[in-house]
Amino acid sequence: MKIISEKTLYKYVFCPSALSEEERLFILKNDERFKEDLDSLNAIKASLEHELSDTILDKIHRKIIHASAKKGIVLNLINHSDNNEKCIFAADSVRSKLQDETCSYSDESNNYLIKVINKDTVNKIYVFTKDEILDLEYSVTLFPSKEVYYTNSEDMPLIISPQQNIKSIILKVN
Amino acid sequence: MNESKFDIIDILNKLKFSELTRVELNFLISKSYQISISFLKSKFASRLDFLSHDQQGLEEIAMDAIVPFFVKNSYNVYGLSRSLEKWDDPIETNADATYFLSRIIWRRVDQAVTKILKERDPIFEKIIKTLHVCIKNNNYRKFRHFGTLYILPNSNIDIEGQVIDAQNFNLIPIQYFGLKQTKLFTKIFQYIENETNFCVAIPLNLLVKRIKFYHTDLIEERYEGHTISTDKYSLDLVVEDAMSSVREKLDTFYVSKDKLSAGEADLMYASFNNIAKDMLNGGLHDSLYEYLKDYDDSLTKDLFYAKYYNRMNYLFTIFKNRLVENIDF
Repeated sequence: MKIISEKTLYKYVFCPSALSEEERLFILKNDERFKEDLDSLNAIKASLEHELSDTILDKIHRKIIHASAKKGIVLNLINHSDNNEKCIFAADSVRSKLQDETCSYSDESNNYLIKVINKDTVNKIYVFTKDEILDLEYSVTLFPSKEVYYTNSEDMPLIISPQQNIKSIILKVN
Repeated sequence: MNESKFDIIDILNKLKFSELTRVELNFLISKSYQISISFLKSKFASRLDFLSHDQQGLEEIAMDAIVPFFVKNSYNVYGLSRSLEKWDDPIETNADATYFLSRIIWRRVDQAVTKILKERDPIFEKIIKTLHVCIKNNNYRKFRHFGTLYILPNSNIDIEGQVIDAQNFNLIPIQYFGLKQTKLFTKIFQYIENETNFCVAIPLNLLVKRIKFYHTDLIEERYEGHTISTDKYSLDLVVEDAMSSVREKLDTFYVSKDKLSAGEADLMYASFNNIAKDMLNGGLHDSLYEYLKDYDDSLTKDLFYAKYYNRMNYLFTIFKNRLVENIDF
């Protein structure tokens, strides 16, 4: 009995010229034996000729982002702005003058944005996702301290006290 | 997006050495999804009873099967790249490239389907775990053919020729599936070799289903005029025991400590009857919320998740564990 492998059947459907005439004729004469596998292959071939809808593609991208976030996304500092008022009172301490600022952190693909408002003696952390995924639970690991905090999208801002000088953040979605 | 300007082989070659553009990535994701959903529909839709009319459910499985290929690891490498590195066959033509992509996706789809079957059916899960131990101990070979996992009698052979399909596999005498471990495999290998023209390879998931069918169905067979009562136990007794453990927990823990009223406990207990029935007949087909709602139309999702979900989930774990610990394959 002629041995017909999975790859042979695959070539029969996708690239018949790659097979010998003997193989092609054998499959043709015995196509009932291989019906289930040939039907699957023909279905795949037919589907590859169509374009995918944007809706499905967007949904897959969201799933990829979510799966990536479960592994941990690194967000680096992208900019910070000084929130201090121009009028500085003589009695203001140097410390409070330096600490009022907003820092933004983003991942490479710009799918996540974290804004950290450094005010008074605390950091206030807000997490934003590009796709407005609701009801997410996160952990944030702050660097260089490596302290881990847990929060969720309903419970913003996350307050860190005492205030830290945050260089980067790892965000994990639970 | 004009997809026709890309070939899969070009995208895969680029993937080895550099980043893909968004358009190229979308092309690869699209092709992967199309392979996944068409394979799922043609091979599995009829076997996944709870999903056969649920297009959205099938789409979700197809998507979840391919997502890991497009997640980067800590070295910034796509899952697909890692699969490409492990691939032995040369990829020289677009057909080779499509075959590579198809093969890894078939495997993922089969794994995704098996995972769902295990989650919904703890009996299925227990049987398959037991069989995996037996396969390893006997040095049988696991081999994938169009995504489906087959068991071969030894590690030195490949699948040669046609594999047995579901229809013909279901013709194997049912009493064989009451045999244990090595005897089970030996008998079925012998049957396929001597009684059929198929190559000697056992489809694993089908084997699990037949074993489960054997044990959930009390049968007396007439064979050549004699009645053969096979030595089986009734799963009804096992289910009864598992239900008792649920009742006991409800009464001694939840009701006696006023965590649930007697009425609420009765509704929960009643819903486990349907859960048990479905477990014996292919696995759960719905969420715990839906099972409880069958007995209380007014139950909202908010109330269920606020008040009942944790308790019901805990009871379900007890029920499931009791069920499988009492079943011996």
